[in-house]
Amino acid sequence: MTAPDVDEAVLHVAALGATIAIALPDHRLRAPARQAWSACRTPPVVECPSVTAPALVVDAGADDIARALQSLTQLVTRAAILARAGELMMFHASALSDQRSGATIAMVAPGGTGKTTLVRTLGPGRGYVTDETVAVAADRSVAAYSKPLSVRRTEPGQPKDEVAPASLGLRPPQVQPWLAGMVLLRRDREAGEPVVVEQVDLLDALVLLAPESSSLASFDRPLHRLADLVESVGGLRRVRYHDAADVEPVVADVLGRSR
Amino acid sequence: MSDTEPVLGPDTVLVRGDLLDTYSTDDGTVVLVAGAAGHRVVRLSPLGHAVHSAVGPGRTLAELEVELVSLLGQPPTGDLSDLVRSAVHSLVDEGVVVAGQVPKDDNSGDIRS
Repeated sequence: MTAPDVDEAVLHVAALGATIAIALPDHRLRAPARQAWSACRTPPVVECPSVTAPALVVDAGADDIARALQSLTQLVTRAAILARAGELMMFHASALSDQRSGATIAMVAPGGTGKTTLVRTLGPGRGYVTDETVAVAADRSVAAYSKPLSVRRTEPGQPKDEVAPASLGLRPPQVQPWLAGMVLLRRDREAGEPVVVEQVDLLDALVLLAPESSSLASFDRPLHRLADLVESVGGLRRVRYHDAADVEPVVADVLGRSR
Repeated sequence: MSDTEPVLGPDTVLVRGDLLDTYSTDDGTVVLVAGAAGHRVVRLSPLGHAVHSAVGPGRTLAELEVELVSLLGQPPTGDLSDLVRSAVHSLVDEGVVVAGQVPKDDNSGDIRS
């Protein structure tokens, strides 16, 4: 059931296949939030999960707005994960898809280890699925979450900027994404060293993926479900790299797969 | 090891921890352990798997050592009891096995981790 989106203080976004209502009581956040979430805009849904953007101080500056938008993204992500818990297998991962076949690579990594940089570097011309959370259904279809990219500034201690994908030359998937491969990212190579790709034993894959999953325990026989998923995409590979551009052959290989 | 963890002695009662799932292949076994601070997946060593299986609904450490010596025999080098104790310590640390001090036939449920 839908309702007209006449209230400028509320923004509806598609996240992991759920619709999330974002309440924006402070008018100063409305325009930047709408811009940042432009790739996720969706018609309103009555009684969908909702979040409220953080309040701003009276004399809020640009950094305060950036921090509020960053917090808002985290709120939306949490709400979406909660909404899909037990339905979709979810991982901390960035993902890109082939715009014709929908073949998608999930690049699993903890926060702050290069997920966003990878999609910024390798994403143009491909489908930007997410830079944060990959959600996979039992049939391996992927629920896109083309959220604003959280772009780190050069100076330490500064807030990240929530940037609309289009501003970085990225487009959401044009066809339904489906999981074609999974890799675990480790940015532990030195500059100039070649990328290393290693196949991970299935049991080790379960140990490594579990900390990067969300709501794993909400599934019946969760380890079996996770193992089935890993095996269905040919296992997990660990990609050790330094420069994001060096991961291109791995992405191209997975996105070239057919279902 | 936490400060509240009991010292393992022959009379220490061992029970299986709260496992949400177990997955085995020819290469080994992993378990999903429930925890207040979050769930985690632990890969069991062959001896760890044997310990976990032998603990069953509850055994003292002394009973466990006897059971495993019976099942596995003494290793070529070292002492199986030492190896079992070491494995039990690791499993208790991971929450795969829970150790308490109450007698096995005491039904008070006062098994402390």
